[in-house]
Amino acid sequence: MNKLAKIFSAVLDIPEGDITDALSPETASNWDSLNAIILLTEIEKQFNVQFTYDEAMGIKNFGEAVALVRSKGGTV
Amino acid sequence: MKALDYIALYREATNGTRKGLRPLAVNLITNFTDDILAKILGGVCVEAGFHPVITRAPYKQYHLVLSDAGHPVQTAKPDISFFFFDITAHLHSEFHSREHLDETVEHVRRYCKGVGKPVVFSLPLLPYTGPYGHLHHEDPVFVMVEECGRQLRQLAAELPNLSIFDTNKIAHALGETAIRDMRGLYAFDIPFTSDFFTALALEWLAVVVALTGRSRKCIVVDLDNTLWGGVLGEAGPLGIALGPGYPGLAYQNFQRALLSFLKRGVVLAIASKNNLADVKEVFEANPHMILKEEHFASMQVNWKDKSESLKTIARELNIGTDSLVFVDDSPLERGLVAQALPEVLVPDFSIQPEQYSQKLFSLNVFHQMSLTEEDKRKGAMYAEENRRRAEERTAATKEEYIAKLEIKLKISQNGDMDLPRVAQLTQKTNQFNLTTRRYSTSDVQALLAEGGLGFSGDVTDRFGHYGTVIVALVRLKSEAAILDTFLMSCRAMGRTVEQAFLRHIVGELARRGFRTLHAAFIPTAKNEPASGFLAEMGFDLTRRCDNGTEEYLFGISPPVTEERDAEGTPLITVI
Repeated sequence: MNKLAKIFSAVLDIPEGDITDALSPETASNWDSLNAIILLTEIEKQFNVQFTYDEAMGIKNFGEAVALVRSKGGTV
Repeated sequence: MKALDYIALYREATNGTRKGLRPLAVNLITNFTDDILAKILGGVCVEAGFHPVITRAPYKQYHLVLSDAGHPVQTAKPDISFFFFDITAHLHSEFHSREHLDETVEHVRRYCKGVGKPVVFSLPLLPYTGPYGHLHHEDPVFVMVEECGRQLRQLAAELPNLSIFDTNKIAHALGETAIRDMRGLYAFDIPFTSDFFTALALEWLAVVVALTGRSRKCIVVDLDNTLWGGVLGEAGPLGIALGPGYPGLAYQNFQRALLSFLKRGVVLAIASKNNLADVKEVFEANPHMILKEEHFASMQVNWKDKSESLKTIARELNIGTDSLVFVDDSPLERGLVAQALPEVLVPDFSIQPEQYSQKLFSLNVFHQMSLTEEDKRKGAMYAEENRRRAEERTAATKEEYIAKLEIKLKISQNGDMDLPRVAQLTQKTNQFNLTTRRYSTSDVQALLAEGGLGFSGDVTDRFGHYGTVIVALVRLKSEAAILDTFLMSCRAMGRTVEQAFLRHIVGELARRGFRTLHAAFIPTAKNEPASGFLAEMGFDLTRRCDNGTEEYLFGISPPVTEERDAEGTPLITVI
C-alpha cells in the first residue's frame, strides 16, 4: 500500500501514517476536484494503468482506490 | 524533479514554510483549465529561488481579461506574463475563426504595451495528426495555427517586450502522445499531461533566470575523456580518440557543440589536470581538434584542485563562480567541485560521449532575451583580451598600460543607443553596477520617454573592439538629476573608462543647467567592485540606510567654455 499512500500523501499534503481506507473527500479537506484529477493522473502514470472516466469518478475513498488499482493488475 | 515535487514546492512557498525567496509577480493567461500548470510553474519558480504570486485569467475569460485594459489581471503589475493557447483539432474553439485570432493578436499587442514588462507567448502546437494525413498543411486548423504563429512573430518584431516560444520544441522532445491527455481535454478541459506542463514551465523559467541576470556565462571543460577520448599523458597528442570513427567522432561533435555555444556568446574555459606543454601540443599538432587555443578565454592546466582552477577562471573573466557550468567525465572531480563551490552548475556527465552534446543542449541555463552583436563577437573579444594581458605584463605601471592601449570611448545618448544591448547590460551586469536595477528594452524606452537621459559607451583600443560596455541612466526632476543606473561590463574594468564616462555625463548635465546629481550605491553579494567609485569621483556620502544603501550627492560646477574637464587625464579619448 506504500506506493499508493505516497501519492495520496504528496498530493493531499497529509502524513502517510494518516492515510487509511476510510480517507475520503469528506475527511480530507485537500481532496478537492483539482487534486482528484492530479491523483487520478499520477496513479495511472505510476502504476501504468488506465481507468475509465466512470471508474475514476466512482472512487469514494482510499480503500476503493486500492481496490481499483489492484483490479487493473497494479501492485499497490 | 517531477510534477508532484514541483506542486509540493509551490505549496511550501504559499503556506510560508519556505522562506528567503525573491518575490515574483507572474501573470498566466491560457484558454483551458490551468490550475495544474499554475501549481507546477509555481514550484519551478520556487526551486529557482523565487516566491511567485501567480495571477490567472479566470477560466474561459482570457478574452474578457485581454479586451479590458482595466481588468485586475492587467493591472496586477506582473514582472512577467506567460501566454499559451491550445488550438486543437479535437475540440472546436473560438480560435477556429480567423476573426477571433486577429482580435486576440490585437489584444495581445495592447496587453504588451500596457504591462510594459516581459511577455512570453508560447505558440499553439501545430496539429500534425488529423484527417488530412501528410497533407496537414491543407488542414484549416493547421493553417490557423500557422497563421497565429506568423502574426505573433510579426508582433514580436515590433514589440521589444514580447518573446515568442515555439512550443513544438516540447512536443518534439516528449512526443505528442505523451503530452496530450484526451480524457483530460473532454472531462476537465485540461488538454495536457503534467509532463508537458512541467516542460513548459521549465522553458518559461529560463526567461525569468535571464531577466534576473542569473543565466550561466561560461562552460568550463575538462580535457581527457571530455574534449577527447583517452588520457593525453598516456596516448599522446595524436593517440587520443578524436576524429573519424567511434568514439572520436562523438568527441569531435561535442567540440562543435561547444564552438556553437561560443558563437552565441557563451565563453569557454579549460580546467584540466595535465601538463600544459602536452595540451599545447594537441592544439598545434592534432588536425582533428575543432576547438583551438584561441577559443578558450582561460586555460587552467595544472595539478591543483579543480575548484581552485574554477575560481581562477572566474577571477580572470571577472564573472562570479555562479556563472560557471563545469563539465567533467569524472564523478570524483565533479563531486569535489560541487562540494567546494555549490553555486557552480555541475551536470552529470557520467554518460557516453555520444550523449555529451545532447546533455549540454538540455541544460537550458544559457538563455538570453536577445542576442546582440557583442554576444556573437565574444570569442574574438577574449582572444584580444589575452593579447592585452600580454601587453599588461610588459608595462611598468597601470597608467602606462592604459596609455598603451590607446582607448577610445564613443558615447551615444538616448535615441542613438542600442536599446536591446543597454537592456541586456542591465540584466547581466552584476559586479560594476551601482544599483543593479534590471530593465527590459521597454523599461529603458519608458525612462527616456519620461524625459530621462540614457548614455552608453562603446569602447575600442589598439587590440580590438569591446562593443557597448558601459551604461548610465539618469532621471531628471525639475532641479535635480538622479543617477538611476551606472554600470560597466566586467571586460572593461580596470581601464578608467568609467571615470571618463561619468565626467562626460556630468558635463552634459552641467550644460543642461543641473547643479546637483543624486546617486546611490545599493550593495549586493556581487557589486563590491563598484563600492568605492562614487567617493573616488568626489561624490559626498549623505546617508547610509539600514539596508546598506549609501546615498550620495555631487555638486555640478557650471559648464566651462572648454567641454574638456581640466582634471581629466588624457588616458582615454572621448569621441
